[in-house]
Amino acid sequence: MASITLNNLSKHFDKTQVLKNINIEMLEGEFVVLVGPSGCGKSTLLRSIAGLEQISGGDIFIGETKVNELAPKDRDISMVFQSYALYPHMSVERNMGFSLEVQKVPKAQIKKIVSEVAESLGLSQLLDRKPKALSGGQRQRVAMGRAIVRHPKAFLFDEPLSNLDAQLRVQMRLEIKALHQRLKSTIVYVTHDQVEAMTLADRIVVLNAGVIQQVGPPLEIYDRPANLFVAGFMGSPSMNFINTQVIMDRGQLCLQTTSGDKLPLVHQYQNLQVGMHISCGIRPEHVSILDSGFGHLQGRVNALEPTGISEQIYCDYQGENLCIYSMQRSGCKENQAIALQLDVHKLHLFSEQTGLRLQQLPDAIAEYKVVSGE
Amino acid sequence: MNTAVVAIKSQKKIDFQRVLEPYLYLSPALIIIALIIITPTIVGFSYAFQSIELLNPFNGGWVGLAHFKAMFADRYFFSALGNTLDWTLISLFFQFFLGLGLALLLNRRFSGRKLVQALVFLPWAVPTFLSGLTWAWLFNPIIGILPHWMSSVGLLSEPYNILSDPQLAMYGPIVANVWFGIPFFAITLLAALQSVPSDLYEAAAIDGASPWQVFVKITLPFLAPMIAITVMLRTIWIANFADLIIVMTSGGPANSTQTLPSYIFTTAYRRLDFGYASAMAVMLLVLLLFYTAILLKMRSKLAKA
Repeated sequence: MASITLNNLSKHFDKTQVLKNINIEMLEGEFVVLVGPSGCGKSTLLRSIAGLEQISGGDIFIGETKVNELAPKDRDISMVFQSYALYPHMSVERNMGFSLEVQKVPKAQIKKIVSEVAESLGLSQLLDRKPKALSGGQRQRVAMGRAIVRHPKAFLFDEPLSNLDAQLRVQMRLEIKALHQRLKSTIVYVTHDQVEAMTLADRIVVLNAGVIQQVGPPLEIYDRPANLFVAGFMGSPSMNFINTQVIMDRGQLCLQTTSGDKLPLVHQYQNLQVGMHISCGIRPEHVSILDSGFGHLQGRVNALEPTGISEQIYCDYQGENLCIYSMQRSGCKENQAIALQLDVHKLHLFSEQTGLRLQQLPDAIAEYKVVSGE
Repeated sequence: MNTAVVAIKSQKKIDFQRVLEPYLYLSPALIIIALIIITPTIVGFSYAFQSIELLNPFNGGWVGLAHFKAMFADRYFFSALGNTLDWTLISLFFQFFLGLGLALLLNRRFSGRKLVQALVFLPWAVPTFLSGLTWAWLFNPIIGILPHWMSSVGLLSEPYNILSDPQLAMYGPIVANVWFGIPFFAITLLAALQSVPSDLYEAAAIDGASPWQVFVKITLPFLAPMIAITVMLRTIWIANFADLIIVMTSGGPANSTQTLPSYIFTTAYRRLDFGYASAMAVMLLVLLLFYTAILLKMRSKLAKA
């Protein structure tokens, strides 16, 4: 096992810059997930670590070794491809043992190592099969087996679950998590699926347009997104944003929406000034529908998405689509006017100018009196 | 009871129609195939058992296996058979390995690749008679440069035309044939190379395979089916291919470049003995069928392994 350190890594194809000044320190045994929308450079970053892409600037260290100039095979990493990249003309056994075969390890030893790994992945019965005779989940397992057999310093996963159906994906996700706990290995895992990112990662790296947006443990990223992009990208259904301006109302700081509704600010925030334009974020689970009264905002139901366990209600507010996530069944109808209550403790404030989060200051002063919408 | 009989009858009629209908739609194609392929083959086969000499028109009629008996006593036939073997195997060997090499080179990225590809495939597009004539001239010391080069590097004692040397004459058409046939292998093998998924090469690079190991353990298995089929096709084509020999040497000097197809051509159109020529053609067909059967058997065994 080894740590992986990226220093000022950059990469461009011709004139398009795909990675800009990437600095990450991945600890030994850490499960790091690179997440971002398609085209954000996450796969390129992974392939650069693997040595399949030349980098244009910066350094990559695996352990203490600088690997910039090393060929993929000398970096002592193994990779699980999105397409699995199993050799179609070889049996499962040869596929898994291929890295040892090319190193001319004695056959008996290869057989022993492969059968141990196959045993741990439940592949023992399939060793003689060709990849085309396997199901998607089995191929996925063979690809992981091939990676494990090498005993690499680190594992790289490139969207390994994206070709599986939903049910199998959940199962394999659990298996990968169990694998990490068993092997205690350093894993870099690329995905565009934020559920995978949240569930698997020790730390998440959110990338957009080749730039790191935020690095942190899953819940920190969820609870304190660093900017508008991370706030909108992480979380499903995604966060609602309301355009507001900071005003002073009867001695208290409030956010006033363009249609004049007021949201009281119950915490103190760094750099907050009256008159500032703020994009106010609120997660769908922190919005609730009032049975009576006016609430903070009044909206009109656009659409309902019941999933059985929960319900998502989309409603229109100042021309914006607000999503409400509720574990209760609201019984709302389309086009119905509803009153919305926001959990004002859970507001996320972003500067409209910079898109950056306004950090919440520790609550030194007693909480302001909560003013409900009037 | 009467109605039941009628019902059975009409049922039979419907079955009959159902069986016949597809053949009706197929009939134009079937008739064309019968006229253009099957009839000439049968007529050609029948010639092999008849005496048909245009110079001896009254001596016709069925002769049974007489042509085949004559064949086994004909030393020109056996020398032609030996020459066919040399011609086919040597041409095939160089065409295949040079074609494979070329395909591997063209599968790399370099600037101007498209242009080089187009140029490389040019020989395939040149009419064979033209390339035969050009090569014959190239081997001619009066107008061609090759004999002078060969004598300069010590291959020949003096610059003379190898096409007139019975020991060396066969290499003239073989060189021309290799030049002509490389593009075929290059095109087909390049297409096969490009069908290998690139992530397999990436996986192999991470697994630590050397370039030679990648070639032997990944590229070749992918190419194998294509190699089997192209080698089979090319063998048959080269074995049947008489144009270059006819143009460059006409089977001479002293029959030293006579292959079976050129011997058949000479027998039919110079000696005008169609019966004997057809008998040799049938023999060639049988030999090639035999070869194909062996190769297909090997291929299916390989596919299973």
